[in-house]
Amino acid sequence: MLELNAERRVRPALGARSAVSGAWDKDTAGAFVEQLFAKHHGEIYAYLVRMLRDGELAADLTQDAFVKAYRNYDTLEKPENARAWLYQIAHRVALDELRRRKIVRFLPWTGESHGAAPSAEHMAMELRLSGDLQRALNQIPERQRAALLLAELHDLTGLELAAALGVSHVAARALLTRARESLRQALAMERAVDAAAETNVSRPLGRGR
Amino acid sequence: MSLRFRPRPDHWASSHERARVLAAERVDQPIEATEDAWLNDHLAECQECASVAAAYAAQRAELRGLRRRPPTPPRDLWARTAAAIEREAPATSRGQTAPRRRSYPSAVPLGAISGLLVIAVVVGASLLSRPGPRPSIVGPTAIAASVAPIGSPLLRATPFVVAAANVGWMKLGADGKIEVYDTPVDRVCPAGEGADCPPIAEPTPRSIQLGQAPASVTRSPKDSGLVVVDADTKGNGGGVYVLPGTNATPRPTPTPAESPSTLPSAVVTEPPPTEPPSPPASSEPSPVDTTGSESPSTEPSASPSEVAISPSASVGVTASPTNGTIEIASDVIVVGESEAYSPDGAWFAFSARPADGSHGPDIYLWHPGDPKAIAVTTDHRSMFSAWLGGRILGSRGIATADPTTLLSQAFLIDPTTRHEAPLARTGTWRPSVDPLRRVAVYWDGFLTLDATGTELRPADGHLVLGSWSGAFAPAVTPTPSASAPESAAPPSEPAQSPAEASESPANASPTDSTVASPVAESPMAEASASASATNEQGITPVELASGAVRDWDARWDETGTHLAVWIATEGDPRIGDLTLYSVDSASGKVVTLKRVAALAGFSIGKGRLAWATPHGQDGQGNRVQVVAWTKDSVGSVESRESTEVLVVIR
Repeated sequence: MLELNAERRVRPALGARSAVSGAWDKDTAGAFVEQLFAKHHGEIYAYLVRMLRDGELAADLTQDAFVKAYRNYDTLEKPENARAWLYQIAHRVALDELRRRKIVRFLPWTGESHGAAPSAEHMAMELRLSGDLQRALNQIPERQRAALLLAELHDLTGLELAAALGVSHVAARALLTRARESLRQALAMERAVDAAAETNVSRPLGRGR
Repeated sequence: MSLRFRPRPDHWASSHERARVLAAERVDQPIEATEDAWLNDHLAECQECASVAAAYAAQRAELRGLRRRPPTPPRDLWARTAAAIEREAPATSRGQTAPRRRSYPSAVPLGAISGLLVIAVVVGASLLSRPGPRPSIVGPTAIAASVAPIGSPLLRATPFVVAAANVGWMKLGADGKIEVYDTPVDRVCPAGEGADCPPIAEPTPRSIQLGQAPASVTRSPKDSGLVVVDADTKGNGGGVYVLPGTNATPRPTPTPAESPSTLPSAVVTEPPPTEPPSPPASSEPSPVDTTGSESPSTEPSASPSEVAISPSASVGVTASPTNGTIEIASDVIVVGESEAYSPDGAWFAFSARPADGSHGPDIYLWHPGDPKAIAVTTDHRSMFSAWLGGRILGSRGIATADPTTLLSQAFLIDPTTRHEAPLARTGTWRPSVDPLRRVAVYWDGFLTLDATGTELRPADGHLVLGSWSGAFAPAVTPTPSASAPESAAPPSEPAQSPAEASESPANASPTDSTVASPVAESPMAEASASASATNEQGITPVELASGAVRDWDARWDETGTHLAVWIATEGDPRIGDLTLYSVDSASGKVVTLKRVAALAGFSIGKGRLAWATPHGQDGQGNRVQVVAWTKDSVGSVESRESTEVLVVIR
């Protein structure tokens, strides 16, 4: 457990405990989560959007993740692990939601701007650039997808990745390796399907000549 | 290391499997030298494995490409989360799950969303710069949702007295004239008591005649004169007017030699005084284009220039018998919301471009007494960011290899000598630095030009609050300054209560003696002060917004502990989300205190934040709302409802 010094009692820092008892304290927890939110809400939201492909749902789950962090902040042993700990909460929230809702539909996510729907041209370009990648990501197992997203897009180190996924370092590396291979195969399949579809579309024109 | 758990080489099902696993691992981190050598040998001989390894590398690049468009969280996410936590707080059971609050449909404008979900979340320790129970900033009467902070004490139910600064605003009167209100705010109400709180007192307004309704109004800290940017400057082209205050400097007779501006000539509506002061810039080299070839119009404007000042002026700005209104810029599009007086009131700076669309924006400077504003940049891609002490802090879009992308470069300009000193770090657009020069709000990223090629807009990047570190110091040694002492001085009125001053950690900083020194002898001295005050700070940048941020306005109170940031909505650039933050510039801790929908143009300082609500907000008309704070309490008050648009005087 992290012991507080006098300064931290005055200004709660990440991982701080109640100044008096060391027990869960709502004021300290509130300040803690507030600080955590200011630093990390953007990336947590982004991670959940990438996992779930649904901005509204991701916002809800981001809220849930921070509420859970508030409720369980005293489970964080070291403040330097706060980011990975928060990702772990978000990861679990995402997996719970995926299991609960059985999300199987493909929701192409192409980024989001402030309150403005992306233009059709923008959508088309984004889909062309990343549609197959997004679809391939959606096809690989959720834990593998999480490992890839956390490592590649959210820059979690090996130990942070392991903490976020709730597995050992070795297991996290193995999961990441399997994820790369799964994504490679899924991507190859997606592109093969795309190529076949383009061939089918162009065939009638060829016959007409 | 994971290697000790990996199957030994002779346990692999095949050398190809081993190669693929190693190739995947090598994407993430270096592998052992022997493994690396073996893999290289294998890939050299096995085309199939080599293609797999290449696919892993390409896959990584593609994945990382997704970073270019990070999802942007809803702006009300903290409000929703804080509300959920607040509901959670009273519960003694940990197993209770906070109910979710769904987002509003995307079809609803963000401003409206914010207005409906306004949250007053206060952390007293930050707000009052001291430990202990947290007072609340609470929403005004019509705010739909108000959430008391975690652990906040019960709030008083009766109005209490504050010593906040006057609040001023303008609106179109029934007679077609502009009514100017200026009134003290000395009484606010705590949370939930807005309905019982009397509205802001509205003394008899002063009437002025303007050709167009104002888009923004800025008050001089020196003589209470007003600079009015008319609404046409946000459309097809309009003017910038000065309504001199009580101690206005007499104006000189305008002559071409004294007006080396690329802007159209200003129109003087009153006879000039007999002894005009010499414009400080006239004897110094200036980057101003004096050819006039790029001026959209060199003829005096035919737009309404005569501004009738009502003799019945009774409050606020009082026109002296010999002073009238002058048009310091005409036929321009005023760009951005950053226009401001220097802290000492000796200069007024803004960004503008010609209404004819011939080129992009430049920074313009006006000195009280001058007939018109003068361009101090000529590259047509520069914008005024803020004042940094007595100097202009500007930023410029610089071309890159990608014709659609520009890199930003911030710089300082001495208003007297017009000497420009670029800052070392690039990629910083429109920084606004706190008075203690430790942190700044800026766009961290790239820019792009709009379809007309004249308007610079943020592209990939984020609006952040980050360190104003030594990296921002001027990249070149500036020339000695010829600034008058007052032009380099910080605000003459700290306007910080003794209690706040004594309790603020920032004010206890040893760097403050440098920062708060009355005069920086030279630009370099000022830059050194900046660097020395911030080199050791190094906070993690806090993202305030990202994505399609078209325009914003970030301003600090004089203590540097409160920051207000207004961000325009994409649909209507005159309406946006206004957020009040408490900032501990020493630690970088940022706390969101309040978020509301607001029209462009707000006023922060001397213990209060004032803004105008958009029409229809909460089903009501236009109002001026004020949040004011004292040592012990925080409260809000608002004006009576108006059917006309209100413009808060900055």
